[in-house]
Amino acid sequence: MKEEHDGAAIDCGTALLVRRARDGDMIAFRSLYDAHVARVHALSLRLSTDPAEAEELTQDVFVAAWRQLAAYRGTALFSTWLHGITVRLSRQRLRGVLRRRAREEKYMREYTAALSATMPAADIPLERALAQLPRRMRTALVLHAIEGHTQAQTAELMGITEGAVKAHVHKARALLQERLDMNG
Amino acid sequence: MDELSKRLRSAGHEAVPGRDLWPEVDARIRSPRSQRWKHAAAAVLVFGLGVLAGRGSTADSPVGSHAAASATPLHAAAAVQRAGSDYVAAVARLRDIGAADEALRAQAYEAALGVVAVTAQEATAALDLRDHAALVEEARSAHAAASQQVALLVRRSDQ
Repeated sequence: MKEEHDGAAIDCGTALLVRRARDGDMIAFRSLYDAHVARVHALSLRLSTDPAEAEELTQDVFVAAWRQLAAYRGTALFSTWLHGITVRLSRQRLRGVLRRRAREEKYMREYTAALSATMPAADIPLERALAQLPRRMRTALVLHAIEGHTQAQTAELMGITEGAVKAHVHKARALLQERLDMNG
Repeated sequence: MDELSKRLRSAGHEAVPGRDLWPEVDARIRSPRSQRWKHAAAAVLVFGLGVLAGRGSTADSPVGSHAAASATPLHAAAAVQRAGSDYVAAVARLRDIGAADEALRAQAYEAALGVVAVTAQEATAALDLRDHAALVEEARSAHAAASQQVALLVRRSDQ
């Protein structure tokens, strides 16, 4: 099952699975889960910078997705829709303590260890620098520069204006560059 | 494209969880949602009204004596208990709606949940007021409206 990335409608496989899942077909939903869990978990990891929280958030996303399937219209990629749920739930779950924890070396070691284990070929210096960004900047940068959403899509996913996205991304890149230059 | 942009573009999009998360997702999806939200909704309502009743008994309240006369903590607590029991009983009847009326049941649950959410919000917002008698009265009105709404939904489902 491959999703298109050129803005075209989702392929028939995903559409059929969503339709079946909406009718209560758990096997169909399991297929959707299998196809998207790694992607959702990657975003959850980067938003939470905490392996345990990321797993909880990932579960929350799919439980919410099951309950909100009726709201999925198919005008966006299913992965994009899941990203939106992830961002919204992460706002509710995650608090400043996680941001502060990201600056503590012990938690940073746990986080980068989890990244290395679950994301082959992870750019650890980049991920460490990302983890230390303020949450909204990090969210905007991850959605736009890593996940490849346009500024408009990122704004919609975050519930902010495009101008705010642009500002967050600009500041995030500056901070990232500074940290990466410092650390070599 | 600058070096940082290249590194960001190359950053991975996928991270397979270290353990299988599906069993817990499956369990949560399959657990009876009606039970969970019914209990949570009733708890929010009863707790919120109970808090209001407790605040209404504050000795240094500027309208403490008035509150005591019109709505003593004991009266308010009793009202909360009756209201809570009625509400939970009304919502529990939603379980009796047959499988053939699944769509109606789902709508009833959603509507009832919405009413409870509004009720909880009103109770919470009312905590900002200084007039404790008004607090208790607002909470009672909100609860009565919520109970009526649920009863109406249940009656409709029985037709």
